[in-house]
Amino acid sequence: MFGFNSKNKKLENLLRESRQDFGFDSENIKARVMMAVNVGIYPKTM
Amino acid sequence: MLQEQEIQELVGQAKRGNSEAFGRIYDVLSKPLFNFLFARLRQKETAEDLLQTVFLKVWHNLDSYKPTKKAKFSTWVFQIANYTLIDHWRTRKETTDISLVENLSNFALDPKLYEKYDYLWAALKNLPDEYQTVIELRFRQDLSIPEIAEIMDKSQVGVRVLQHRAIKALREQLIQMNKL
Repeated sequence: MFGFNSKNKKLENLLRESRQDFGFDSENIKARVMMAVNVGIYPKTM
Repeated sequence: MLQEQEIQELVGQAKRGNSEAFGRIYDVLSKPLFNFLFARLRQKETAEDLLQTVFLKVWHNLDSYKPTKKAKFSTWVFQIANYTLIDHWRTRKETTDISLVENLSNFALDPKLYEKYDYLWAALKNLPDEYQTVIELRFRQDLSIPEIAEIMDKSQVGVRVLQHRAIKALREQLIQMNKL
């Protein structure tokens, strides 16, 4: 049982180590969001 | 990263219609939200579109957010992101062409780090959606079990069970790939 839990902990740590930031066009998305907010446009899915 | 109290102040201002305060909220939360959406979708353009949708839903529903000691604002926003993902899959997943799924390494800000763990990303892709979601929220976003329970609309026990099953399934995938 200890072995199984210990292996799971190792895998959980591996997942934390593999954490990544991905690049995206943050300013462009922000501009799209702010424009919609300021003129009152909302997505159809809401 | 702003403290929860500072975020709550911005939320209060945004609720009163201050779009500049909402822009600051975007600055704080957009990166972790994009990482979550992109890891689950693996398509940059779709993840960007959904990120926009999430923030517009947040703005539109700000009045329904009630701050409590238990409910952090970011938890509420992640809950909206998760529902948005589920809605997206419900309506479009069947038509997703697997050849369009992008290689994450093209977008990783640290490609070397990505390459070191690419087998892990490949293994995760083969897990059921809920397993991938709980793994992303727990180990990549570092959220607590109560927060994940709120986001996924499950009991805390339910999240613990899901997490246990997800880790077990991931282990099995990695063993099959000769990586464990």
